[in-house]
Amino acid sequence: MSGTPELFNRKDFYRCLQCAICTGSCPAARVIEGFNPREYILKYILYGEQEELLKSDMIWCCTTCQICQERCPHGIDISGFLIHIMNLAAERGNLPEEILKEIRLIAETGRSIKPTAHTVRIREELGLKALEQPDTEEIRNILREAGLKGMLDQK
Amino acid sequence: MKISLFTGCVIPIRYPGMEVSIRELAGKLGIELVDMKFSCCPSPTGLKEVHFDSWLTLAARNLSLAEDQGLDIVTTCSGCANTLRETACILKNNTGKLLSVRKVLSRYEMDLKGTGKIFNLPELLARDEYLDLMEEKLINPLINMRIGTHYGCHYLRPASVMLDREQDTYFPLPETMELVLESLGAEVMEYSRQELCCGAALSINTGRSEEALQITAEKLGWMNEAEINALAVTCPACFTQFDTGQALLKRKNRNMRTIPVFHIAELAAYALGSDPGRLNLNTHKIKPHFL
Repeated sequence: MSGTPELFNRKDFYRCLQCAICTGSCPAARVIEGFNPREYILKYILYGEQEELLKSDMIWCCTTCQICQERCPHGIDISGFLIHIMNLAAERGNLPEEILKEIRLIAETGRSIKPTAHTVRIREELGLKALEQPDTEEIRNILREAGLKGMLDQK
Repeated sequence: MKISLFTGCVIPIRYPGMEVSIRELAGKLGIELVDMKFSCCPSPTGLKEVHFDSWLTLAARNLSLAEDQGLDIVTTCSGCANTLRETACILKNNTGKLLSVRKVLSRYEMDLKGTGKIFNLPELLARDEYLDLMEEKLINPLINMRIGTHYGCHYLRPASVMLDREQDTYFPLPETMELVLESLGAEVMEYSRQELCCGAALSINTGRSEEALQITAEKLGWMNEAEINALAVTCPACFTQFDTGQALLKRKNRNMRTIPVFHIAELAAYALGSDPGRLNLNTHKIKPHFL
């Protein structure tokens, strides 16, 4: 597997009325100026202004809460569309450092957070078993074979 | 019942007391939890946004580990539940994706047939047998608690995948936590905008913590309006956002009313007689003084 699959059905979006229930309901849009799912649909699908959008760091403000698609009167999969543009942007190197770090940590340790000495001590004090060690080599290889090559290599 | 436990990354590392709660609770209810060498789920707010197929394949590996032992999975985090259930759903309905995933897994002598089920902890607890058992074994009823619930977006949406029903804009919430809390003796409260996001992903993914806290503060406002005095969550990311979030907000506004936050497993374990010290409840930023 490689490349970015189409994660939404483009034709569904031709039914978008630009009513803005998506943006009106969006928690991120309330607090981040410039994050606007309605406008992203307009630009990306209806106007074809894709490259500009894929360079924007604003698209990463989506919390994937999916209230947009739940409330969309046409039931359009807006969340799938946002995941799609984030996948494409990441392929072009536009992704936040925070997420990149998390993904590299998964490839390295199998987990998205690093246990500290404090974690180990508290677990012991509470009588919990030591953390299981996932098979990190297998996890890394699976991620690579599924297509996540470049992102893990570049340092 | 024997089931494999999927704690996710946050609970065992950041909130080991929650893990104690989950294990003690399972023990009291006769649920045998099996630990497996799962990886990160991976997160619907992380790898999924960056590389969909890698997200799907790593999630499928986790499903395969449990399926190989003939076990269903119980999750204690809304994000993990979302990733695992959506993955199972995609692979059931999309043969192309299933073939690609199986091809990768087969190189590591793994397979996936899709026979295993994934439950979120409150779903299991809300079964009649466990509700009855909890009422029977109740030692510390949650009296004096006017408690609100926050399921976390990924517990709820999309409804077709997460709640096994058509979405309903007017009744978007399941009642699993409400049923559990009532059987533990709490008074369950409703509040406005209950189904909305806590804001955590905005802060985790982009570092915009101030803006994320604005989302949290708005939800807290609705909770305060309903005069709830405790909040139950099912997700450790939501827990951090509300617990640490209130501590941060209080620095700016010393007179702010605060609401102690609990993972549902903590409340259930406590109510069934676990010692609050063993559950590490004193490490919460907003102190649960009334327990």
